Amino acid sequence: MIFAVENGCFSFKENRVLSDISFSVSSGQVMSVLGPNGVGKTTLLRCMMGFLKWDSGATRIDGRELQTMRYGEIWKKIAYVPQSKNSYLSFTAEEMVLMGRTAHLRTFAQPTAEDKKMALRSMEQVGIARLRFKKCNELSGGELQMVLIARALCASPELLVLDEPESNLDFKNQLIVLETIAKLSKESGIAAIVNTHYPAHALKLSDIALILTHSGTSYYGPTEKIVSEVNMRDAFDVRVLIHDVLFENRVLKNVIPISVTAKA
Amino acid sequence: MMTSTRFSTLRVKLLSFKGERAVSLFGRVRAVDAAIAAAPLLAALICIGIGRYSVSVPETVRALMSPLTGEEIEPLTMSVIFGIRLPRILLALIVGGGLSVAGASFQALFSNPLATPDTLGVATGASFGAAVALLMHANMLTVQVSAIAFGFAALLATTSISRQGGNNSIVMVVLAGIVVSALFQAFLSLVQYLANPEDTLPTITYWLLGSMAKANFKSLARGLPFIATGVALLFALRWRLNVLSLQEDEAKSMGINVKNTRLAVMAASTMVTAAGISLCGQVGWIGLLVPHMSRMIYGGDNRRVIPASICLGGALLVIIDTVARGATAAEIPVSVLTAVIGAPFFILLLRKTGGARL
Repeated sequence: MIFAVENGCFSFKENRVLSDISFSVSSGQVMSVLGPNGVGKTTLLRCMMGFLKWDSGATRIDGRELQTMRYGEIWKKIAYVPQSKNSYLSFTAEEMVLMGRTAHLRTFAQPTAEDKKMALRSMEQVGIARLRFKKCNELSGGELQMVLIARALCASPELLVLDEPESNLDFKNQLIVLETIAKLSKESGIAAIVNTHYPAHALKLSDIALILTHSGTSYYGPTEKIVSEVNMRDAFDVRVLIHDVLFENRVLKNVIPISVTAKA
Repeated sequence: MMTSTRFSTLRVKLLSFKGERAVSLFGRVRAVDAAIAAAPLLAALICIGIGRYSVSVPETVRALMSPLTGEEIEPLTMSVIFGIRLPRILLALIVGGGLSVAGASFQALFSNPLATPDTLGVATGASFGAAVALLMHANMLTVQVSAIAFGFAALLATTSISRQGGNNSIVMVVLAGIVVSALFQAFLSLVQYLANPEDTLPTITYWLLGSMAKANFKSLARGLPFIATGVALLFALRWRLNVLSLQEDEAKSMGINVKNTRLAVMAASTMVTAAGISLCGQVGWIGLLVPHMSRMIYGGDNRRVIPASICLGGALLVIIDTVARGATAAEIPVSVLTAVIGAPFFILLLRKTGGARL
């Protein structure tokens, strides 16, 4: 599938938040969205999935405009993983994951045994089958994040949209989430769009990157070109050092923040 | 919640005892399911015989079956059971189940453990609607429709007030409900003030007091279609109720039309509440107590909470109403009894959950 945004513009009241955003992601690709706090990363996700309406421009799935598609159609193709806040309900992990099947069910239908099997399978896929009967409000942040990813997978989507999936997680859980996304895109050919605060994660994970800046300009292209010292400085007002580290015959990218720069 | 944790550990232990195969064949503990499903029938059979003229359970069964079997039963027994107690028990079953399922649905809809027909202002709105219709000497069908319409208006007012500024916190919803309730209570007083003390005022006042004592098959037949339709719709939507209790964007991303589903649930729950009020006045607290009891047993999944609420709610109101008519020589109003049980429970719940979600 090809998920594309064409010249998307969006304003909150008088404030232009997103101007002329264009990008396209196809099966198996991962795109990172970077940008300082409050620049509109979550707003971008909400606009492109139709939760907010673009002022102008459009989202297209395989060429078809999102606005013209029915809810059921859209959400069989896209699955959304929101930021996990620990204020979750007393559903068990399994019940929560099973909700991912809803887009495939008719209005008055209940999930079938087949749906339940798929829920279990996607829990196994991300390694949380042991949490099956645990309640969501008793899970740790990392566990809950994995439950939400399993729920998204359960919809058998072609595109995963993740909003800062690795924030609020510890070191190990961050790595688990990143590797899960990478595995899914490589092995199952699922496309992914990931909002992240960490340039290093973007370099590690994604093929393409989109950097939003407060001035309204955005940078879009292959991650290694886009996540550069110059662009980072422009977007974040931070001087950074990006360098290669050789480790066991692999080149790893490292991003070191040096200092905050004055606004030009 | 402590109790629910205890229940779920019990469940897991039983499951591991039964082994994996048993789990897939029978699902979760069936004895509990069976007991809950049988509760309304059992409560009805036992309670129908309780009262100043007492009838044993076997005799009750024989009497109830006599139109089919043709058995000769003492006329007094027949007239007590069919003429007086059966309609009253049926009314309690229907209203109890209906109010409970409306409460459970409101709680899922607002993902708020304190949302009930009473706290959201729906009950007061419906009472006002019915009183206005009575003031105008309208027929009983109009009274019901007016109750439903004003109940729905009150609900819309509460939701729009509590949504100001985008955050829809638990306390904010309850506060908005109190404000809307107070407003409709004031309108209701105005209606009573305007009513003719010779005829409409007594009708309205008597009706507002509410009681199961006036139950008869005719009024049951008038209210039942509304309650049955509402309950059936909520039962059919029980899986979507789970989805609705997620945050808005999240619920949308499950592929459902959130706005329409919400409206359908709100309309169905209001219809059930308002029709119940038209039948026997305001019976408070049931919509709070019963869904929480169900959740302690089954956890948060509405696929189980909704049917359990219907059964437990029916059974509980039958029992409470029987206490109301049988405990003392004079009848105690049902709403007094439900408040005595419900109010402390509400406080307990408020302190336990604080600002937590469902």
